[in-house]
Amino acid sequence: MRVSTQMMQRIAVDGLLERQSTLSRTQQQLATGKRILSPSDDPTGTTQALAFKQQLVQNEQYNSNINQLKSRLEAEESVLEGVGNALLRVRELAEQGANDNYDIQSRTNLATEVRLLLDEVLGLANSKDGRGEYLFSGYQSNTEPFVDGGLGNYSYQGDQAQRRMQISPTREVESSDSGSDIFENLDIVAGGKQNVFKTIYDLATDLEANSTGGNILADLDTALDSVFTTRAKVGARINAVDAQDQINLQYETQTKAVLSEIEDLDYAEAVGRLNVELAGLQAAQQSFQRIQNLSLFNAL
Amino acid sequence: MPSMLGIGVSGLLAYQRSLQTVSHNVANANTEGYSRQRVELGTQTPSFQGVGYVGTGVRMQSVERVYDGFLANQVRTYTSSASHADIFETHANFVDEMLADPEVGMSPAINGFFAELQDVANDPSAVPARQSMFTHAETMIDRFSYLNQRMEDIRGQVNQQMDNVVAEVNGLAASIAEFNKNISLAPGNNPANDLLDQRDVMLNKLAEKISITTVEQDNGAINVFFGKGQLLVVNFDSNQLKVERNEFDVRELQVSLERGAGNWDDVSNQISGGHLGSLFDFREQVLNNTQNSLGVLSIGMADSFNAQHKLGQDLNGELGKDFFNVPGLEVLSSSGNDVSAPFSAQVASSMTDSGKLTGDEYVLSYSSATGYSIKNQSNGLIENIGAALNYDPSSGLPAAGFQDYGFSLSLAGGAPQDGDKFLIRPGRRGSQDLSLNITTPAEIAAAAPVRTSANILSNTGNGIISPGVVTDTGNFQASPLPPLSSDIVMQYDGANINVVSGPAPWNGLSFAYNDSAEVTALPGLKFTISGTLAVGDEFTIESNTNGVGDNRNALLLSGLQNQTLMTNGTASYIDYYGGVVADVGIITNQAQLTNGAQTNLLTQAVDARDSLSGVNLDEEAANLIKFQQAYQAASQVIVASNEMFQSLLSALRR
Repeated sequence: MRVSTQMMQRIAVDGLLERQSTLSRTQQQLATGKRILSPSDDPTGTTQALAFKQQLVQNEQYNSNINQLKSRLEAEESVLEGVGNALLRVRELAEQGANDNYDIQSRTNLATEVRLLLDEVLGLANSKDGRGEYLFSGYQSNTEPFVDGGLGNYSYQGDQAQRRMQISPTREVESSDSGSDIFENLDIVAGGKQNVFKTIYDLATDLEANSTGGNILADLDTALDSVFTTRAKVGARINAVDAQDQINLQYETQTKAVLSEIEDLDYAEAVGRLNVELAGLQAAQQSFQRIQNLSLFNAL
Repeated sequence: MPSMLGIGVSGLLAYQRSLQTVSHNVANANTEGYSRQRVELGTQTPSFQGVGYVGTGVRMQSVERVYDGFLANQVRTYTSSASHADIFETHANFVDEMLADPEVGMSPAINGFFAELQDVANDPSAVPARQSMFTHAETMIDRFSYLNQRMEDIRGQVNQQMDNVVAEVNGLAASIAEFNKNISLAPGNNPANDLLDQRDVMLNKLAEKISITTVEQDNGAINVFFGKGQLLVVNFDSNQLKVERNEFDVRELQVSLERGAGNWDDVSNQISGGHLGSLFDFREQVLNNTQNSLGVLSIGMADSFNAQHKLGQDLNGELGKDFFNVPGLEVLSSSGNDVSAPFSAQVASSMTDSGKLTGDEYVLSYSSATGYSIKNQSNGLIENIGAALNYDPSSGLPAAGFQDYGFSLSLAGGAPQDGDKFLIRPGRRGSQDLSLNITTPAEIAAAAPVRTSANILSNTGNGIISPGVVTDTGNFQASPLPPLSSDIVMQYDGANINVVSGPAPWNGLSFAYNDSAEVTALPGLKFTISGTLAVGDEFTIESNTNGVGDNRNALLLSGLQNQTLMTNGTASYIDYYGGVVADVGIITNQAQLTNGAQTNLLTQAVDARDSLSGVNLDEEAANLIKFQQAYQAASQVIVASNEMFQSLLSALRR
């Protein structure tokens, strides 16, 4: 084919420009570590990456939820542990008080400790979490759950609701328990329901009156049972949350791997490509230089 | 009888011309569009000398350019398509890169907003979490409007370019007409090679702006057409193009062609190829679609979020308000509509289902003979609505079987006149008009307005009631608070559960008790009761007064991001956005491939032309030597003839 001088020049320059542009692209990929520099590079991959990124953001949020949930549940667990210990001590004192050898003085002494323990249990039932929210008042987290109305009347100001937190796209876990359920919803031997504070109050009153009370031990057992059951539930939730944490972690690792597969650069391949492209550019430059020097006019 | 001297002189003259032409070729080796020229030589008429014909020397017949009209045409055609592909790719790249940019794209903003919503759910009474979500909502809104602004900027650039390109087209058309005149009026029989080359350059420049076809006339003039026979250059005259606003929108430009004095016709859809055609295609396929679709996302998200938000209760104990101000649908009247009283028809459009909206545009036309009709501009589907504008397919109006595009239309004033037209662009203003309706973080409705309880202190059964879900707040009172003026008390009678006290419409309602079955008998409420009930057991639904720790509605709001609320219930927000990004990505990707292919085709066409017409300096150097030698030889003929004459003279002198 006949070749014009301008054409030779243009072909050489076009070749140089084209090689420079692919080289610059590879360089940009290496600099960012990304295979996909804009959606048009891989529209399907970009869309997949958007979805995976959303899942990762959500997953990260679930992990943060899990941490907050765990700290809430652990706070609740330690409060319930305190309540359990106090109740065990109350039960011990009740047993002692039932001892026929005790006189009124000894029983009054017991009653003093029982009243202290009552204050402790009431205080624990009105505990707040690290953020200043009451643990046991349901949705009304700014409302003190149990109020001492005097003369053994304790009223619950909260509600029966349990707050839930999301720990996976499909899983919500209760992050609180209602004080009504733990401390108030207790069947007593005499029939009906009675809150644990009234039970303890009655014990102290009986002791002060030198009476040994009939059903108080059984009622205390019911209360202990309720506290331990709730504690067990909280423990089970913590375990479940830990398990979910592991699942989320695994999911995160997998999703990151898939995402990386989609949008990250294969460095080995890219560096190899860069070398080939560099060699190509050099060859094009050198051949251009040599061809430029050829002209018949030089010989004239 | 020819003399040797005469023959020698004819050779001298011929080779002088040839050397001139070689010099011209060398000088123009780098001139754009130059076709190499060569001198056509022929023998002079021989003279009869009795025994036969004797040659009388050389004659210069013409100076020809080495040129092939087919190759030149091919270059022109590929110039248009390569320029189209190049401009299209450049513009599509803007939008492409903008959408997926991790800093400015929509997806991080949407993800961030919903992540903050989770934090509110974790700690609904905490003001800092609410403040953070509030700020992220503003960020998301900013992002919508920022992307929209970027697209409006691009639209401004497109408009600016249309102006410039049309001015260039007019200039080039005028020059081509001028060249036509000069070429056809040039004296002599030989073609004016350099003028022809220059006109070809002009035609190529014109082809870069707009795809053209050419027809050569007998007088050497070239007529230029575009589209389906639209005349741009006729003989020595050219027609002007003009950029005008489109009938519906000042920001949407169109191109008109002058036909006779003062008559302008819209020829926008006749323009294809080249820079100008590319601008139209980019605007229609990428810019408008993306802007409309992004607006639909904004509207759909605001609408569905509001719907759930209004089922909640905020930190002040008030029923949830609209979280966002949902952008309205854009309706534009044609500038050709009759606006004189009493006509001046106004059309209003309301959204009926945000999940059904698409980025399509619709034209509503009125004809006095057949009434209103609506045309979907993207698929061309036309539906006749009838004489009255009572269009709401979601309610089966004007009749069953109409396409439900997610909006209704009605006449808001005036009376339509024959030929009135309206453009409905549901998504166009969505990204720009989105704003927050709530003004303080406390107004985020994280809680539900009611809560449930079993009357555990008096119940003898072990029945429990679920926290419950609010599905409609229509029966709640917004003021005075609380939403329920009295508690809804339900009592079990051994088989049924009866509402024994509470406000209307719930008081007196009754439903059969099925353990753990979802109860929907109470309007606007959903809950389940489970366990073994005893006669007389009571359950209460009460206002969620002081329920600042309730996060039920926040969890439901947060769940929206994983629901398929867009595109007729097939896509989540991010899916939908991904679709918008993918659409642009695919178009851009195709544009890149097309651009590569078109550039190659153009290069091949140019190579083919240059291979024939281009100057090769080595060849010219060889020709230079060849003609120089021939010139010297011809001089020698004159010398020889002189010497012969001298020797004859000296012979006679002797």
